[in-house]
Amino acid sequence: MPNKLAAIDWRDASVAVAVMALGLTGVVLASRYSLGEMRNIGPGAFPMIVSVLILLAGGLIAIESVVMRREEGDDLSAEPVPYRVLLFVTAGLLAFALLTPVAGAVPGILACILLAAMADGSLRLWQVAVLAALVAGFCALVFVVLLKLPMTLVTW
Amino acid sequence: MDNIALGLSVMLNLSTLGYCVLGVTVGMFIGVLPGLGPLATVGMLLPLTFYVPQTDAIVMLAGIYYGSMYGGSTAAILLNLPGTAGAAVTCLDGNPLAKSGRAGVALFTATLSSFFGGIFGLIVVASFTPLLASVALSFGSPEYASLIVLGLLAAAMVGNASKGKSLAMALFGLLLAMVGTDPNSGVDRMTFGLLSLADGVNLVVVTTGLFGIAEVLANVGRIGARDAQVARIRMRDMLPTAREARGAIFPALRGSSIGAILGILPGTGAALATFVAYAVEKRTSKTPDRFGKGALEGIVAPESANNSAAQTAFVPTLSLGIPGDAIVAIMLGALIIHGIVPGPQLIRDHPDLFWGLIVSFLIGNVVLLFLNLPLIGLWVRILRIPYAALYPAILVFICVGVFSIRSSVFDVAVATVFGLGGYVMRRHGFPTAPLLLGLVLGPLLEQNFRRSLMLSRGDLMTFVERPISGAILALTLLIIIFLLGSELRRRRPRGQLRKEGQR
Repeated sequence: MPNKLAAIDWRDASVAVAVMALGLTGVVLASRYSLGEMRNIGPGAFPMIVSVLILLAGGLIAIESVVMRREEGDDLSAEPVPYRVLLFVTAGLLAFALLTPVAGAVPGILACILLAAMADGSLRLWQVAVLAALVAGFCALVFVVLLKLPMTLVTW
Repeated sequence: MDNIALGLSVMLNLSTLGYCVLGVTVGMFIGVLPGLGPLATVGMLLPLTFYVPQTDAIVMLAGIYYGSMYGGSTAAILLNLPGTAGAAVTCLDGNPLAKSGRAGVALFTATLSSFFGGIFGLIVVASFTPLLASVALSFGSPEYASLIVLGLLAAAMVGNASKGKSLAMALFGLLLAMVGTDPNSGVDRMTFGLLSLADGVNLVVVTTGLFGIAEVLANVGRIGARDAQVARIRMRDMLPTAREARGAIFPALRGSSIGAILGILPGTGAALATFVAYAVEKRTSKTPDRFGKGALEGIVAPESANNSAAQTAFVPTLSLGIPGDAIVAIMLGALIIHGIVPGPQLIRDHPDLFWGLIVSFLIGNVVLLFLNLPLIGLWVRILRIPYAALYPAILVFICVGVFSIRSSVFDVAVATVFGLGGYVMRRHGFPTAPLLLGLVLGPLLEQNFRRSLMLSRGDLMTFVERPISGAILALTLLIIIFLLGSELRRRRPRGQLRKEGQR
């Protein structure tokens, strides 16, 4: 008889634990608000119901991880974690968030493109510069000049 | 007839017409480009529509949705790379056709099938929505609560992913919807004392994060340099033979019908319709072994199905206020932002919006037909834009879109968190669309649930005892039992389909 434990998908099992932890967090958070009574339920009641259901969904995932062996298809999980991509894309987004209030949208956009482009790294520096200029110009023209979004292009 | 005239009068407005053409063109563009889907685009452009009249905004956003269904097949056929999720099945037979030198025929067939499906869906929307809305006018809170539960469960249960994971995501969306000030008691819920969260988690922020940023994270380095060896396609290479054209009529009808039904069902979208349509077509075919090797029906059925579904997804949205899928859910959010209460009274109170939208579907589909056939060379050239140059621009548009909601960089940071979170979830096989539906439907569900209990003085049986509500819940139960029961039987054919796609 083959080892029964080998049939359990451990990745899914750990995911089930994470989902249950989310449900538990929800229960704790919801319990800080009044549950009310049946004819007039309070602000805590609905989040409480949902959180308990999340706990149950976690249980369902746990059952699935034991009962069913899922064939791995075209999903991402088989690939190594792309730390470089995660790092530079996040950096680009945060650079926009940090620079825009201080220096204006154009420096934010330029920094975002510059950092984000390094995630892939296949463009040459001059190509990145052209891309950054094009995107910044497009945003300034369409969003600020044409659509008149409330956005400062450059803070002097 | 009066209604069509009303719709025409709305659409003859130059600005509305302009937004319709703009919408379908943008939709076509992002549909052609792999790695940028309609969900992220609609989410990104939603803040911009705050500055546009309501009808124009909806017409444009809808155009992006069904326009992307046309565009999605181009990359699928030429590069074996689906431009949108709804075109994944088109790869199976479209790409073999292209490899055997009949790319023009495949593209022509895909466009005409899309057009057929679109018009079919449009007729269903125009005839079915007012009917359903007049029935739904008698619905009370319990009926709505039950309907929303049906929609959420259908979204979670139908589909490829694990049922438990999909369910967890829909519930997580509901929980996220609770963040912010509770409208009944004024209590700030789960804001962790952050003032920026008092208004709740913004729909645009979640959408652009989960679908825009997460998509970029998943695709950088994966969508490599494409072999742009696409031969020039001339108009006269595009016509299929008379026999092929005759053979396409029934697959188109079957595909459109399947798409129409799955589109109307709340929570299920165009991508699912293509899978079902393809499977049905293969099963009914006399020569099933041709499928996967360049069978024209293998393009006709899914392409008519996804366009039909993209139209009929508006039926539950405009008649009941319950979105047909995640993309329409965002448009529902747009309606609410513009101060329109979605629900059965929408057609009665805003006939110009509804019939204008219907006529815009018609115009949009015709425009798409002309955008596709004579201009195919242009779209082929757009396919050559490398993803490395595309994704930084996508990220900037996301930043600008999110920032422009209320000039808040906090929102940009939250979108980033959702992007990273969404990527992690996808790595672990969690589908993200149910979360979005949960987020949109959460407040509606809570309000109707609360009101039902108030009206019934705390009696939970009200949901079962009221005939319509009870029937909806019974249907929900049936769907759950049916889907759980067929889970094991369904697993094998799906796996096969996927393997064929990889070949």
